[in-house]
Amino acid sequence: MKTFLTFMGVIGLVVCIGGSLGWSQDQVILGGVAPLSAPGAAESGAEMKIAMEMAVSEIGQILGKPIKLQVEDTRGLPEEGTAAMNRLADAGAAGVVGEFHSAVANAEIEVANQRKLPLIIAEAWADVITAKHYPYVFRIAPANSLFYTKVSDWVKAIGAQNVVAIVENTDWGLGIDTVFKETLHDQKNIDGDPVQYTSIVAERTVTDFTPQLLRYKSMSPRPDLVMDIFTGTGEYLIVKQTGELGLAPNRETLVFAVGTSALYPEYWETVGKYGVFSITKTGYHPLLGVTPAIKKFNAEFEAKTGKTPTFAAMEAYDSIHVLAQAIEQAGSTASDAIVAALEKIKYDGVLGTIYFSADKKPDYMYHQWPGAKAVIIQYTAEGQKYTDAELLWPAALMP
Amino acid sequence: MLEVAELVKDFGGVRAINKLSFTVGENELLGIIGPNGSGKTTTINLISGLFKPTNGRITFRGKRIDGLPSYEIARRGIGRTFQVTQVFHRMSVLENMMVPALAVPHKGEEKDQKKKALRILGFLKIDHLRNEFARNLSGGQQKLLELGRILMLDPDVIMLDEPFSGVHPKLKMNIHEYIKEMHAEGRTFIIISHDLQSIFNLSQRLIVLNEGTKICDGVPQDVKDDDRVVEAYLGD
Amino acid sequence: MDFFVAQALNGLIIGLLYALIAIGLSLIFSVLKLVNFAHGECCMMGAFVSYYFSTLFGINPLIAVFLSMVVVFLLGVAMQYFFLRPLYTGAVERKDEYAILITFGLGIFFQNLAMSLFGPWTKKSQDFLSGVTSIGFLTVDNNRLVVSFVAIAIVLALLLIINKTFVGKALRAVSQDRDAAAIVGINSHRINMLAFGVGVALAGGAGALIGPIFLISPMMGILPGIKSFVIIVLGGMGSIKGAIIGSLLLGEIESLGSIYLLDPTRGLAYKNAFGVLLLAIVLLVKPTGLFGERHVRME
Ligand SMILES: Nc1ncnc2c1ncn2[C@@H]1O[C@H](COP(=O)(O)OP(=O)(O)O)[C@@H](O)[C@H]1O
Ligand SMILES: [Mg+2]
Repeated sequence: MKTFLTFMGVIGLVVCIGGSLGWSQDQVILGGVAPLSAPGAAESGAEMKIAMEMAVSEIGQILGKPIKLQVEDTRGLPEEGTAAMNRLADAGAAGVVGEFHSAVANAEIEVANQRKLPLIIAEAWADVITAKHYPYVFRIAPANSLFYTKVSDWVKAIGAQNVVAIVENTDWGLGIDTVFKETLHDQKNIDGDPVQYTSIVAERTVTDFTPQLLRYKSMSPRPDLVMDIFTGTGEYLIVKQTGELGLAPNRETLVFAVGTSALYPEYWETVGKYGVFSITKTGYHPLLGVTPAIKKFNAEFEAKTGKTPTFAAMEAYDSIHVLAQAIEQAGSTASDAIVAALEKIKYDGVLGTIYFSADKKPDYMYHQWPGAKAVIIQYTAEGQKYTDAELLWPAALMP
Repeated sequence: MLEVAELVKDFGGVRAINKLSFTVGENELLGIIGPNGSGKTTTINLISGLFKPTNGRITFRGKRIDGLPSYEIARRGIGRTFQVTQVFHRMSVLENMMVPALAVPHKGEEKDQKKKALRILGFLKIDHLRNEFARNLSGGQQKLLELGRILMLDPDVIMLDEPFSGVHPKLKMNIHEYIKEMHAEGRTFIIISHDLQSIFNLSQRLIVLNEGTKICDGVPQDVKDDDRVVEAYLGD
Repeated sequence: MDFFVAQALNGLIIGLLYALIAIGLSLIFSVLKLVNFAHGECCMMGAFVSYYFSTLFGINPLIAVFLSMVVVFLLGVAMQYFFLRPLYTGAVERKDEYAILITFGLGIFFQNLAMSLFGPWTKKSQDFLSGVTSIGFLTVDNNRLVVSFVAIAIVLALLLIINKTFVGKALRAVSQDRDAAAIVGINSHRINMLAFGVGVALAGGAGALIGPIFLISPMMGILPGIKSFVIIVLGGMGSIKGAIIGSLLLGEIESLGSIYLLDPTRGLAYKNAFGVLLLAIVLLVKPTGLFGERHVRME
């Protein structure tokens, strides 16, 4: 009897191991993380997921094996990000790409590091993500400091003296706030006058910003620029309420919607006429150069969804390609081999030639793509697509 | 006209009413007495539908009423008051009177209902309090209001749970009169009371309960002389 | 001074919107003796229903508000009939726990339902009246003005119904003494249904009114739900007057508090905490809330 049980046990074990080995040898699993539902920025997450699927179906095979893409919904919540990363590690993913919210990315990099799971952050900007110098973490999106120091340059260049901001209480928002405090406040503008930067931090769930906007309106002199450092509903509401109170945009005061949500059609549905002459930023704009790769991507994306993609989709798309190429070059799905390949990678993507820096100064530069671009644009008509908005900065790119 | 048969009510493990049977005839004035906790209030709660019986039947004018919701029983003509007065505290006296008017499929206009309410309040001599909040009334006045409130429904059967407890002696006299008067109009009464003198005076027939069962049923004089009653109730 | 008046006016407008939601919750509590934890979601449902009425069928947005109240009323009647009625027929043993779980569960269900039906995107309902009105130094969004007047009208109509009509008396009677109402012939199941329906319809109306001002999304109800609960505890559970006063108080505290209290640059980060703070203080001084009679529970 005992021998029979042992025998059955061994058979069972062999079947199990054989099964799981067979499973992992049959395919390469690529993980995706993105906010697909509220309170996350679901419109961005949905876009990123579609772009990842496009990339996977183009690549077809890695190391001669079919690819399985597993995209997890992180809902904009750090704890969901942690859980998603662990699920992907458990499923045997070779690497993970994606994420939109810095606070979630911040949780995800911890899992990536612990479980040695290569992670390419597609669209989360907080400096800290790469500044921790985790070997398994890479980033295609610009770091906050990389871009917002340039925004400070622009603010100084337009001769602004009084800049006010409402900042969401997240790693992303507070990170940008810090950059402005360091590179804008008390600095001299183009006319040699000091710039005053004032910010108010708000919970993400706040819906009425009127009290604070009234306070800004009562400032003298009137603010030159209102920075709306929010994403999602809050970003829309600040532009809307700024307009309703007659604070901006007008000849005296501009409004800058910093979050990516300003690039979607929902922006116009919610802010309406108050969005005309509002300013925002984007990581892609036709004036940055329309390469054949971008043309092809845009056409395919539009055919698939009927919508114009934003740079979040492009970053997600490129991230999958970069990860796939790294695995090919590594010749295996062993995580250290993939990391080594990523550190040497050169991939011609939609957004440019992607590679990762090894510099640790400034500290956010490690495993960061230094070529990540972002530009400042201004809408000039209601309902305008962001691709038709006018470029404001950098001046060198202006037509 | 009202028949209670083999009625049983359990609260968890406690049997509050145990196979209780009795009938009440048209225009009878029945008193129910019994020591504290003997099941008097529970009996009224069962008849008025606030409690569902565990077992047994209650029949009114030949139709089963056990299991019907309270509001339906009230609409069929059985009214009651509570041992601890339950008026609508944050409503005026007149508003209290108007609540039952909502229930009956409108017997006439609001104006008529109001007239009727004032007439009843006049009969009970509390019409001068009509605009007072119910919570500002004395205990006795609240009892009268409670009585007046059920009169709005024109009930055929009126069940009064301890109508004399905590009432000023003068007012007690009045309540006696009101009951007699309404009885003379043809209404049927079931009255629970601790006040033995009042109840012996008033009722035509008495039922004595002890531990949820009927131990005696008869005219007041017979009940007074019954050994079991003396032992269970009057003895101590 | 100008600045203060502008802030106070804003607080008043926000307070009126809170009042609509909180009165509904209080009405439900006063009659059914339960807290509807799906109240915020009923507010959200009202917002979406009126959004689709006006965008899909081209119905005037103000009329759409009233239509959405009707729809949410029917939803409430169904919720009460299928899920809450057992509480009053003696079918449920642990009533308080059941009431919390079932309403909370329904709330989560509605969130997910809305997510799959309407998508996660933020939408804006049609303006009631676009543009702004300027009176001297005051500039107010016309939508907010319209909404304030509509909210006041709805509250007054409700007070009139509750205090002057037969139905209102029945509502008050059941809320004050369910058994006493029953034995004078009031069908309390109907009153429950009515109170629940009207209560959630008020929340739905508030959601529909909020639509063009604070935008709509499946998760928009969470915060109003919590705040209306804070308000009715503050005002006294089940007191309509308390709900109104509590709402106006909270609106002002949030508006003025985030400017004048604390460090104004951090004020908005604690905005949602003001209500709780106010609540804690009031409850320490008056444990039953501002106008609470006593603590009532389901029997
Ligand atoms: N709602 C109830 N729940 C549990 N037990 C009850 C309830 N009502 C009455 N009882 C019990 O039933 C018995 C009879 O009570 P009751 O009818 O009030 O007595 P009486 O009115 O004769 O003083 C008592 O033992 C009492 O404790
Ligand atoms: Mg009793």
